[in-house]
Amino acid sequence: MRDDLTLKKHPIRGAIFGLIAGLGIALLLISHSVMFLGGLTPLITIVFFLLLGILIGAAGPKRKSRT
Amino acid sequence: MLALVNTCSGPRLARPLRIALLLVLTFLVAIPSAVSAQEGDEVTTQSDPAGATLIDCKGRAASTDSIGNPLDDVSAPGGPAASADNPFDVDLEGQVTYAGSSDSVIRNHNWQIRVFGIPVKSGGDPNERGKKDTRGTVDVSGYMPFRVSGLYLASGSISGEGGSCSGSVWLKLAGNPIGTIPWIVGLVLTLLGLYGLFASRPAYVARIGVPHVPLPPPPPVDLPASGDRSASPPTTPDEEPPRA
Repeated sequence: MRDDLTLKKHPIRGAIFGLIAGLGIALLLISHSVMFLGGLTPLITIVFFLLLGILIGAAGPKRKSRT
Repeated sequence: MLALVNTCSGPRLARPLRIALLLVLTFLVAIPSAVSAQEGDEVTTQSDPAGATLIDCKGRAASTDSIGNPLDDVSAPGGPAASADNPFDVDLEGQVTYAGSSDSVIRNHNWQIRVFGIPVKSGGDPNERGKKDTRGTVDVSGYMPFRVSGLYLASGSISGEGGSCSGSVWLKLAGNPIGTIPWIVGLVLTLLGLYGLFASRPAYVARIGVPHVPLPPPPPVDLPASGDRSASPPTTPDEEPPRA
């Protein structure tokens, strides 16, 4: 790696977008009656994608530098 | 599964990434299993009567689809209690015929119907004639703020002078969810979230305080003309041609 470059991680950004993705997927699954509001499964889905977002932001595959 | 993760990940992947991969595989295995189990439950409970819970009153209801065919019926008390395993099937384009009675005359009452805690309809009546029972037919779509499908808890209550009554039932709103507002919102959020996750990966950026020096362009390479195979190899300007 070159000296003028540093690896920047985005765990907060990953958590936010993981939360958004989890909410969306939970809504889709509720619409298709796979899970229902009030159950534990929507919450599990949202928390799962939240944690996945943190992991991707902190230790996901690295993006290439644009320059 | 752990062996699969170890086999697929290889030594170059970081440990957190291996954990993430393990979680993804677990999720992908668990969700279809849960869905298939739920579908199996639906098959076994399809013929089960729908359940409802009523306190200090009794009632029954029957639903029909959009063309008037009977869909489901429920009564309480006497039947199973309200639960997500035995919902009351209704069609968003259909109707529900109901009849109910309270244990005592309720005057100057107010009533409210909520779907998962959100009030969707409310009203009241002085009940000057002292009626203890009511019946009627309602359009399901009139109780939903927008087209929606899925499984939802509906609850209602009435209270006034002389008594009160409350109850709940799980409603399974039949119909194609594609195109409904929750489905569209879910799709938009999913796509936005997945794009954001993709963009949240760690990236190499210029170090603060250190000027970013772009890579120098590659040196030009003089290639011989395609037809001239006998040409001598290219020489740099600094090199002098060999002298005889």
